[in-house]
Amino acid sequence: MQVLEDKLLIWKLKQGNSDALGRIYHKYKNELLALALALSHDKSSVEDVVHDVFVAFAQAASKLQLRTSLKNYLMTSVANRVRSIGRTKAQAEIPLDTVEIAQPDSNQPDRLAISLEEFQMVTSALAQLPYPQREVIVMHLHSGLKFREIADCQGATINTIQSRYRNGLNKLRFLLNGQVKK
Amino acid sequence: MNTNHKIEKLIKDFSKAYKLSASTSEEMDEKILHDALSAYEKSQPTKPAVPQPNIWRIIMKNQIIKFATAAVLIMGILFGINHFFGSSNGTSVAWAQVVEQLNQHEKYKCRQRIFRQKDSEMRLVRTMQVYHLNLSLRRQELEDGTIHIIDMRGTDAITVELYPDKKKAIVTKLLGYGPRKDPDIIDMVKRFEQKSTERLGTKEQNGKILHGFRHQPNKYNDFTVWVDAQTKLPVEIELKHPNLGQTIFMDEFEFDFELDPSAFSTEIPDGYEVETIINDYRKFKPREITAEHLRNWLNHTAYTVDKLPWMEKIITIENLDPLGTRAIVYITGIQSNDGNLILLVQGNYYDMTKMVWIPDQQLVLETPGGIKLYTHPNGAIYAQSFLESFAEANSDFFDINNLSEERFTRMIVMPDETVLGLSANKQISNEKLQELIESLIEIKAN
Repeated sequence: MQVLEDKLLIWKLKQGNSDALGRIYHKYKNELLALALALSHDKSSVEDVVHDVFVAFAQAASKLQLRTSLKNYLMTSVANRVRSIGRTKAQAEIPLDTVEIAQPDSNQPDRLAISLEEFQMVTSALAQLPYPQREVIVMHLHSGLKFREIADCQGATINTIQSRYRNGLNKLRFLLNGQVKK
Repeated sequence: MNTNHKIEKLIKDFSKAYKLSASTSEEMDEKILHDALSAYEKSQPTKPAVPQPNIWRIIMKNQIIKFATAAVLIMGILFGINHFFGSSNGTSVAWAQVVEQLNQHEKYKCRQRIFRQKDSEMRLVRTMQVYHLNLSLRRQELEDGTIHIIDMRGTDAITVELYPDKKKAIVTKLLGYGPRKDPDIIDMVKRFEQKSTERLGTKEQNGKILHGFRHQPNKYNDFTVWVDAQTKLPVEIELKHPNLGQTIFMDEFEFDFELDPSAFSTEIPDGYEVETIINDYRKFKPREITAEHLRNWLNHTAYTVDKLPWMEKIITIENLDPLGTRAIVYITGIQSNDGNLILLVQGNYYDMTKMVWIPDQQLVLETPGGIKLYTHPNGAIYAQSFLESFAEANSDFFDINNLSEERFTRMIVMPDETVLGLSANKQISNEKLQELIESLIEIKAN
């Protein structure tokens, strides 16, 4: 039903119905924001990332030929934008002491499956991964993208992506050694 | 569970926490949607193949988006002044005085001109006088004599467009859209981050010394503000939107202007022809309705079907247009004895004055009584939208899992130019279609 609904929204958009644009934005904005935040750990730039992605999407909407789902397309666009900003800033890896810990909403503790301590621990560990590894892990586990889709997004082979994923997990295991609940 | 699986689970939980906590602000939503819509409108090569009433266009047309722009401007003024007086000369007292002054002048009028870039030069596209009685009620007077009143004070916002030369009025009721006004602007000023501003020096204008400042809070907004040193109030504001190639210029400010309150009335003067548009922003719950209800709510002829032997069950529901127009539509569902579901769609914009694209479609059937049946350019998708909408409203009547690839749509044009959409989940023979459309009967008052 999700895919059907998205196809319908895209169709409406191509027909000139700009109301569909608003519906797509409200449907995916929080997920896009969360992905940008998980990838970049930079609260100051994530709104710009979502802005740029969505404006570019609106600009291309009438000619859009999606080879994947709308959600994956938008997620991939966010990852590309974060990567592009990262390159501009020559931000290969973020030193641990400069990571700003973006915390989950403390008003909703009962809804969270993770404690604040664990949250900070994972944020710090992820921030220490080389960006390509972090991107594969976040896009696969956070956004549910398949390795093939991530390979298309990063312009790499599926073997490279799987290798980055394995290496990233190994590094996380090293960083979180002893801190993961047995 | 091995360690890698535990880490994967931890990352997934971490992601859930992120997803739960990530949310955009209203300001961000407004900014992104505004820019995205502008980009979208610019990218449209031709008019839509199937014109539909469109809330965004209606809003643009009715200047409500300008209301938002004006709100941004006011915030911009204050933000700018926060910088100009708080950061550039370091005297927070002066800044406080300006905020205090503006706080006492909610009512103001100004001239607003909009310039857009065309062929490498800025061209004036609109000039209007804007009268803000407060942040929920304003009047705009355009150069061509058109008057706009925008009243967002009530739960149901209303916009009125008056065309005095044509004695015509368009009233748009936005049900559930209000009340709306700007956020607490003083609070926003206090929270505004200190960033760099550029002093432009002073200039003399009409015997007054004005101090100029330039401030770019982000790449989308470039403010230049000239402030009267005596009154601490803005005299000129220029807001450039570089990405849109647009500049909004405001001057001729008058605070605490005098204007008869009737100038803000949404009552239509006598002798005007009135067109009313209703856009429903309330949470809508579909419901089954009677033929009488349908007749009362349609502003043109309402139809029902005279039950034929192959029709097993007929119901009519009221629902929001699944095509996203915010209009209300009335959908009559007919279950046939061969397992098909046929929908007849009626609505206030279903007439030939609005659906001007229909004659360009293929005429597939014409009855001796003058009823015409046309194709729809995207019939399968139109049918899917309405079948889904119907299934959502009444899953007992139609199960969406039975959505068929055979689904299709035809547009029925009645002799009085009323239009009905006809969608069916499965194919129907032309003979049966003719029998169906000839069974349409006008719902008359009891």
